[in-house]
Amino acid sequence: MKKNSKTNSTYNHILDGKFRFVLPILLIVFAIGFIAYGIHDGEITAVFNKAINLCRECVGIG
Amino acid sequence: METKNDTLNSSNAKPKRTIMQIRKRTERIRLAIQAAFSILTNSYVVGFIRGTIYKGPLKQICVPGMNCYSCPGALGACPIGALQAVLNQSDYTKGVWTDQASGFTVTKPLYYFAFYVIGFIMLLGAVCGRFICAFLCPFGLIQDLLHKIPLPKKLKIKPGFKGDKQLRYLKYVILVVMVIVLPLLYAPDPFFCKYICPSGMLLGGIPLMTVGSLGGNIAAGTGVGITSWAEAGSTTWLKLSILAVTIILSIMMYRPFCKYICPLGAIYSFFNKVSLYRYSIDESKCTDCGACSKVCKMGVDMHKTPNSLECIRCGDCKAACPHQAICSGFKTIKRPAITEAEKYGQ
Repeated sequence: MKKNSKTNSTYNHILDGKFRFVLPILLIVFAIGFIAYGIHDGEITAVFNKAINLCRECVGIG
Repeated sequence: METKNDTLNSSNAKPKRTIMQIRKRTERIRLAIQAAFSILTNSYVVGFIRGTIYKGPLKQICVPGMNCYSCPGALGACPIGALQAVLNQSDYTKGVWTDQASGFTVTKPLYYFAFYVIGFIMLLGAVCGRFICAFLCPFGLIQDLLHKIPLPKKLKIKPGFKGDKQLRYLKYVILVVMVIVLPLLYAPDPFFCKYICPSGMLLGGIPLMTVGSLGGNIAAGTGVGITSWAEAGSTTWLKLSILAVTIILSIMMYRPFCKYICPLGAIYSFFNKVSLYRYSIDESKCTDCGACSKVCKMGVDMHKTPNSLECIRCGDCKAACPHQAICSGFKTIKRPAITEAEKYGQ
């Protein structure tokens, strides 16, 4: 009976079962797509410009 | 009925001393990885000497943990800072156009979706979840070291106190309000960095302002550095107060910032249940002795929820398990097939 708490979750069975790798791999594919689109869209420039200049707000003087 | 003590003392259980040794060894390895990664990503030594920041091409890449890009040594960009910087570009006035049919000027707000930063966080989250919090976050390392400072037992706060569970939701509220909504609506302020982040103050503000002040008068343009304590204002004192509270609480309890405040940890937590790197319980070995839950400093009931949103994958439970029932890695132990009765909770 004590094992019921661990085994009665359908949700966990799906995530640990045959779909174990489907969801993370889908997420990885989407993530790589997002990164590629972000670089193509010039978003990386916004990140770079913010990162190479002193962020006055971050260090508490802004 | 087997009791907890029987289980721990049973013949196939490890002796207590060995478990302690394994736990200490696991912790030492983790601290070494944390320190090595923190040094590697903050290795721009010139910044600490001259009170400046690194401006090279590596700053285009985000680091996995909370590491302010205005830290003098930082080689990469902070993902939470970068996310706010991109969202800050949103502008109500950019999408102004005239409707052909009515002739009215229509203002279409222009919002940015931070594809690059969100993609980066998603990639790391999908591969290893909150493993990053335990192994690759410099601010996590600082909190770990602060928690090692000895304190009388009555002053130490253990997880599970009244209000602990509710406070854990605070990091999700901070993520939505301070990191996404406010920077999106009220540009150009990175609200989380400006009003909360103690990491920026500790790793960026204090070293930069100190080196700048020691180097000379920045306003006169004679000294080294890009800022100094002369520029400190009300925001500085607010952030210093938050940092002081974080430091005191970190001595009293394990990782208060990660548990209740960190928006990056909040994002990674969503991936804990689905990430490739995961924890699982070998139910044929687990006796429900509770040794794993007892040692968990994040307050996770490990044998029931091995992939809890709060688990930072520090490995303490795995080292403490007397039956080696906790497995971690890219493969999980297959659970027994679910029965209809179990499925419908009968």
